[in-house]
Amino acid sequence: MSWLTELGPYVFMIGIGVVLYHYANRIVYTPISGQMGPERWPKIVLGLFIAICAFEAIRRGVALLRKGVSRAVSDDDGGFSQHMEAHPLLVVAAAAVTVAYLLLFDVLGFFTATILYVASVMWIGGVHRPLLVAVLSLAMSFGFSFFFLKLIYVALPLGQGPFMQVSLLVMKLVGVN
Amino acid sequence: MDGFHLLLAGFAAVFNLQDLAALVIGLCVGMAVSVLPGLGLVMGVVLALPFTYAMSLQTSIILLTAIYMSGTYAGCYTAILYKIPGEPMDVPLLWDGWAMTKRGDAAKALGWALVAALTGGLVSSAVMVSLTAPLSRFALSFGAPEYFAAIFFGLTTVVALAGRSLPNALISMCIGLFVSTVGIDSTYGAERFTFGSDVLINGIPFVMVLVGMYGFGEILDKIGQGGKGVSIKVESGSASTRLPSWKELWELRSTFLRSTTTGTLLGLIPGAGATISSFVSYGMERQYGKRGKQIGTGIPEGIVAPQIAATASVAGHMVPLLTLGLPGSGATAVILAAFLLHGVQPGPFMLKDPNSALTVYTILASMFVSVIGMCLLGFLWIRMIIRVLVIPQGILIAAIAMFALIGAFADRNSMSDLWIVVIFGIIAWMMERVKLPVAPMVLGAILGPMAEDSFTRSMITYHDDWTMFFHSPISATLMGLSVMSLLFPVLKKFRQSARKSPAVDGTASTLAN
Repeated sequence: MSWLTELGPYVFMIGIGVVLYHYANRIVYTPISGQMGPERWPKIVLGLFIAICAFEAIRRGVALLRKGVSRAVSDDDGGFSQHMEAHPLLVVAAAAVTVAYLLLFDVLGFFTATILYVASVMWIGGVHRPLLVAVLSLAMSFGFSFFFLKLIYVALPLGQGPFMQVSLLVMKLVGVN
Repeated sequence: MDGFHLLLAGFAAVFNLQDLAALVIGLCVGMAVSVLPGLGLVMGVVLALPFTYAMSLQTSIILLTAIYMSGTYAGCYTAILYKIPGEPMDVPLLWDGWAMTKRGDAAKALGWALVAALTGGLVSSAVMVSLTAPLSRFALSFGAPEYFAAIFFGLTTVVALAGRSLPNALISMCIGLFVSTVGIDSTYGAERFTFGSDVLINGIPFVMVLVGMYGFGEILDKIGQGGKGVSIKVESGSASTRLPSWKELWELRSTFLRSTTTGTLLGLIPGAGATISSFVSYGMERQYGKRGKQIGTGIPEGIVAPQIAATASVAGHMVPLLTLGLPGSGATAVILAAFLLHGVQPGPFMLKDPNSALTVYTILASMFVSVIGMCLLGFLWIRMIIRVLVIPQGILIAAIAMFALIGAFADRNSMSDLWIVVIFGIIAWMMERVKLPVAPMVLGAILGPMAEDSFTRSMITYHDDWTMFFHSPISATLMGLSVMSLLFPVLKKFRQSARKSPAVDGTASTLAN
């Protein structure tokens, strides 16, 4: 298991680097004689990337062999040993809610989608009083609508069907035609 | 016009209504984000960036610089009064500051921090302003190889100072440099790594990378901590400030001189931001100060040294940005982004044109006004500003998430930008988990196009001769410094392990006995 956690990420990155290097070889352009092409710089960067990953993988492999699997090298030298905070599931939930927000942005429109998003993030963020969350998310969504639509003129999505009507009403309330 | 007259004209320009309003807003935002633990000043600058699209270049940079400047100061209040460091740079402040507060000297401790920030900010700004014109003239002699060497030096020092593991920092930098190559190449018009996607044809906008990695990534990080709020009682009398007397100030003259010099010089080194300046200055005071052995027990030197250095580093970082176009920290990278968003590449040529020279000196003048403004705000309104700490975390997170997302959307009204923000936010969160430092990747993504451009021009001009980076004294020196900055952490680690080995052996033999 130590082998996997110690070397796995570096081997994985070497794999990605090699695939991208292969793609760099396939960049299409008209060569000019005596002049470097557009693939040279990415290939230098990817070459360096692969070389560092390989060096680190070998270094760690050698260290593991010397010290034995039970005394892995990871802890103090800043390897890939993971440090997870107390609530990784909350992070997954926040990321999922944000993805849902982006997916529903065009359908629900800015105002309605923002009410749901702000309420969800507040709840995930530890505010567990339903009435407060409801009032605040409504107020914040209205406040952001005013700020972005009226003050800095951002064209935000209106949504579809009944949600568009809601957005239009909000626009009227914040004074945007 | 010479530098002095340009600076005077700059002062006059700062006091027009629009720029002054931006400056005051910037100071308040910087103070608010820097007192909140976990929300750094870089995040404050990043969140303000999308709102600068509609502003003039001058107003934008003044706003962002004010956030940067005040972000190095306001955290001292929570560190001293509540033992809550708003930023990592405030940690040394709480060792002596909190000890003074426990003794009932909180007002005095705040007074020392205020004078330190004022002195560090003003002296460092004055030194850097006087260096602007000579540095700019020096930079004009740079050709493509020298420019590449300077960028390479910037990247390597950031890498060297980024974290415990040099390979991981280098990996992070390579990822950033790679991200900057996606899209259409500027020399040949060739598509690179677009994989047939229309979204990637124009490249990955570095502003979205910044907002994602520093903005949304931080939000995820904060949520992962479980929405832990900070429970404090903001008492009306506790946040008052009592300034030290002239006699007390005179007694600490060596500390002031040493720390201002340290902060200003460290500010010039890319990667050595306010946090490193603050810790180094504190360490130097402990080693060389008259009362070094008492540091940590609640003496003013322990507050003055880190605070001066942290604030002094801002001017140190701003001048290389304005004269060479090279950012040395996360915050200056965002300020560079604001320049580029307005179609302006900062650098030595800015001082050649009278109009842009005035812009440069107006920005420099705004640093002086920011320092004085933040101290005034700190003195008068800090009680109100630290009330931001009593807002529940969940509400703050929701508001910040909205600013990050819709601020990013406001640039081009593009949903793909929002996806980039979210994807890079998740990448930043994952990178932090696996100990890949974020800063080298961000700087790699920003400096990547400049590095590639100067590298390509050098290779074309010198017919693929790799040694040309070592021909001119400037580029050879910078390349040498780059190599040294990469070797230094390796040598340091070898020395440390060599020192540790006998101890470990000793322990082993003792256990064996």
